[in-house]
Amino acid sequence: MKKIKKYIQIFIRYFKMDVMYDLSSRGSFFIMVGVETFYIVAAVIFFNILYGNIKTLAGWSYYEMLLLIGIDTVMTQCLVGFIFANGTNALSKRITTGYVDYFLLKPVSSYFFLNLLQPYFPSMVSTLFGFIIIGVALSHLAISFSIINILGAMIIACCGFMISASLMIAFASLSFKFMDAKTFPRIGMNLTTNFSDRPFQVYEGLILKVVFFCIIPIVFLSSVPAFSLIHGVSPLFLLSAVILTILFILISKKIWDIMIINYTSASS
Amino acid sequence: MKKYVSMFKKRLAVGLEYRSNIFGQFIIDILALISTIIFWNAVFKTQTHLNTYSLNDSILYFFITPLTGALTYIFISEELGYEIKMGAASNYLLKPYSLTFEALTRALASKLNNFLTTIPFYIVLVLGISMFTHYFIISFQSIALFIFAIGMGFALHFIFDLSIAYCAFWVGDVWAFTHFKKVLFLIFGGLMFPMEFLPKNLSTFFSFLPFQYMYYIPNSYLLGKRTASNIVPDAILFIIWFIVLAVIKQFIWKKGLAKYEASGG
Repeated sequence: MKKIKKYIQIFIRYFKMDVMYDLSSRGSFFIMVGVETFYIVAAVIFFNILYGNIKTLAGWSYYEMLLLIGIDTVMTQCLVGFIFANGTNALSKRITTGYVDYFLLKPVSSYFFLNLLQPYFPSMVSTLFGFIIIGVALSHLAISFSIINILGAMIIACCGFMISASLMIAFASLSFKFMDAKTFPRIGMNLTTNFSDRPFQVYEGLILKVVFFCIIPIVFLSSVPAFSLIHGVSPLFLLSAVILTILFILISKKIWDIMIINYTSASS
Repeated sequence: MKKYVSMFKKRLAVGLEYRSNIFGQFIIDILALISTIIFWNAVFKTQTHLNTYSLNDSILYFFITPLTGALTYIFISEELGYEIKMGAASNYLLKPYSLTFEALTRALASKLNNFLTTIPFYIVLVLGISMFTHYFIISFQSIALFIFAIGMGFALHFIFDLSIAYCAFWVGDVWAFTHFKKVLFLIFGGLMFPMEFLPKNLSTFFSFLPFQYMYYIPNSYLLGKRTASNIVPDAILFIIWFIVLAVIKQFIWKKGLAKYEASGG
């Protein structure tokens, strides 16, 4: 418990520093927020055009889909902000320059320090657009809200976040083995972004179900939470999400520990 | 000419040095293609056509897209922009060659890297998916038109990307502009959807923009959605946009050079 408190304190301190750093150059900050917003707008335009030609997608109406996009925007922007932008994405450069030494010398887990301690604030601001999309979608959907559904959907989304983060870290850790492997961290991110904003019903057949519910369970990031908000929380989904989260964190940590052995300092 | 050939060889060697990146990019493209098949299969579950596009058309369109991207996409702005920002561009200014041609050797070397690594795979993939779906729409004529369209897309993208790189004379980092470019290609270039999916008035407006040359026009030629009769109007519009973008690029370059302080150089 004491250790968790210590890590939370470190995280808050670094988060504050990062916010101050990002806001010190306001012009760049707003450009960065703008970039994230462009991608969100592009996704909304795409589904608007698609739904101009179709009525439903895998049984999801336009506003149900909009809810999914909104949740996915919030979740992926959080992933980019907390894990990807200054974490896994920067790993190969830190390895090449020997900058990892600085992190290894601190009395904090390298898994935590290298991946989670440098948040990217513009992405977090961009989650606001996701919340706006969720608001618009919910105002058009006749959903009877209950605390259980909201809480359940939030727990599943948090599990989805941790599963995706674990996958991203596992792929990024391959950078310790392969020199200047800038694209490896992006594999983890693309695994998320390519598959998370689709209704989980599109993954039909035994193979796709096994892949997307068990091997790379991306459906728990946005699709299952959106479905749970609309139709109610399934105990099976909730239980699977929790078990898979524990499993993926353990696997990811194990891969990280194996891969980091390959690190040879470049600077000293 | 000899000096540019030498530069080209150097860039080619640099590009092939870290092969794990090529493999990583390859995996990323495969993931995108798997996602494409799954998604469009779901879309076409309830209908046979989206305007003029069938499921096979759509899948083939999105399978051609990485091949087109490997041939037309230019990445020089981030690297060159960084060099300008750090003052390293002074090295180029002091040497007896044009920065535009130096950048062109980078772009061409990157394309040759693609020819040696990913492009053969994409070609096999496109042919494979055509055979798998029993959908042999690609002809020698469509390939010839596709190559011509690729040339136009490459030229426009090169000038556009160079203009972005030159913005580094004013802004600290052109990273945001490169992402903005990608969003433009996603929406207006046919990277996200073919123009046929758009309402008529919107697709007419989009057809006057230069971005469609990056993905949509080459893809359409290979799919046979555009024929030889479209090549003259496409070439005329290309020439107009090439001149416009070249003038803009030159304007940014001249203004930027007047402002250049070679900080750090």
